[in-house]
Amino acid sequence: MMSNSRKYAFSWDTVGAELSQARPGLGESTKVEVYRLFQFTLRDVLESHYGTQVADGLFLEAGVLAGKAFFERYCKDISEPSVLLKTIQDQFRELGIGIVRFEKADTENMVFQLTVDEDLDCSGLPDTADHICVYDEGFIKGILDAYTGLDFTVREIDCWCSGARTCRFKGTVSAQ
Amino acid sequence: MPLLKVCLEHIRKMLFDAKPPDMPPEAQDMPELRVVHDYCFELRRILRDFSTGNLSEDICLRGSLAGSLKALQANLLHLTWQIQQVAGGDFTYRVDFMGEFSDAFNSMVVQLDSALSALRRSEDELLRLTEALQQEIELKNQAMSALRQSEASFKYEAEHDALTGVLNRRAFYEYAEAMLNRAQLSGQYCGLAIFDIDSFKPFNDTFGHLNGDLALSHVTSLAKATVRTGDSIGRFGGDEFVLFLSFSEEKAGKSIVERLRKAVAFSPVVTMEGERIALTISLGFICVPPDFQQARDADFLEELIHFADEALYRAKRGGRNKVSMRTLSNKQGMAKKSGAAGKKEKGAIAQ
Repeated sequence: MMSNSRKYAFSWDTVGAELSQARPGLGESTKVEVYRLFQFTLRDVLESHYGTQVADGLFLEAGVLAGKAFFERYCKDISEPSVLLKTIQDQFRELGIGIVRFEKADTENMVFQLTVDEDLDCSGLPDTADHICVYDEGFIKGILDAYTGLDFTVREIDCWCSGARTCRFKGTVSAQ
Repeated sequence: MPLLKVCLEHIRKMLFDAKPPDMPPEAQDMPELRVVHDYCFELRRILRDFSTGNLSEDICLRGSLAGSLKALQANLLHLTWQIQQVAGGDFTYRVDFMGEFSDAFNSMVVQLDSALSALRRSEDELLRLTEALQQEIELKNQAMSALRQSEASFKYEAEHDALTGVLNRRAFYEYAEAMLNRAQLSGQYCGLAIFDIDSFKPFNDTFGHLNGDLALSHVTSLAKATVRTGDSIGRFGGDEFVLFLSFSEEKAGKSIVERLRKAVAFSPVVTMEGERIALTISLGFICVPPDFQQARDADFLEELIHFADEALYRAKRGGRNKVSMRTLSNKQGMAKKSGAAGKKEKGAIAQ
């Protein structure tokens, strides 16, 4: 039976503050491979315990939580859509998440289409038809949901390699 | 032809020919060539779409070539979006991909931003100047309006008696001369009456000059109320006033001056102390028929005033509170003791 009190409820406090002071020798950044080592071993364990579909669902959910936390931290006071999109581009680059480029931002019909180059999760992976960017899908959905108050569905609709790997995502409002 | 050569020839045609070839019959059973054939076929379609500006088609291929095409498609789509943002007025966007194209785009945005900023500054300056000009015009209009009011006020003061508001002597002369001519042209009678307040000196001595002024104002108010629009009243000095009237027949003229006499007699003046004092006036009235043969000039006006003055004298001698009237007639000629000798033979006073 699961206890009501939670050990790992997310807040930015759990990430830690003043990381540059907390790691004066190593600094506040680490290598992408370390990040991926953590993520893909966790995927491995989740998949082996719960199967691929559940593992992907859990990663998607974690991505949504991260996207909402990102919005709260970096975009909370933004009202203009164009400012939000620019902030997403700037912060993704600043934080090393990826290079975001919007292809479509239809705020009337609530359709957003963007590509992410040099993605933290999947750049450099082989160009396969496998659908692997579920965490990214959740992340983008978390931001759009938090900004609009709507329930978005975000899908990785394409990815390709031309040197670096690029993924294309499309966000639409979920059918009620 | 060996099968390898057939395959290579087919691939060459897929790459170079204007129309894609069908699969060669000899290689129908080669799935590898079918894959290459389908891939090239799809590549040709995508490149044709790109060349005509169609970026919206999905690219359903994978691999390095397809990746490059997808990257080009994504870059162009993103660039389109960036241009839309710039078109919407956001000049903070910059492009950091597609090499020289990016440089040109960024340069264009900077130039646009700079040009639009300069235009906005010019517009602001123009607005500021327009507002300043409008204020200047407003001030000028106010000054003009004040000047016109001032001019009107000066003109009024120059032409009117300060106490009673009726015309002064000079203005009355100008007006009366013009009206004399107008009456003749329009075939109307006209007349000139001189009147003063009976026993005004004793009134002044008894009730004081301020009440005397009240009496003058009172009588002129009654006169203004009695005469018709277009007629005129002037003050010649002291308590002596003059009326110029136009009317359709002799009887009507007499009726007007008679009405004025009665109005004064039945309307006592209220002194500053609240006492009601009866006043009377005497009038001398000279009537000019429309067909009276005489030049209607300043000399003629002087003669009319002289005759009216004589008539007033007769009214006084007749016991005051009276109208003494005379009408000019062509038959009898002018009968005047002094002045305008050349006109004497044309008109006369009819008693």
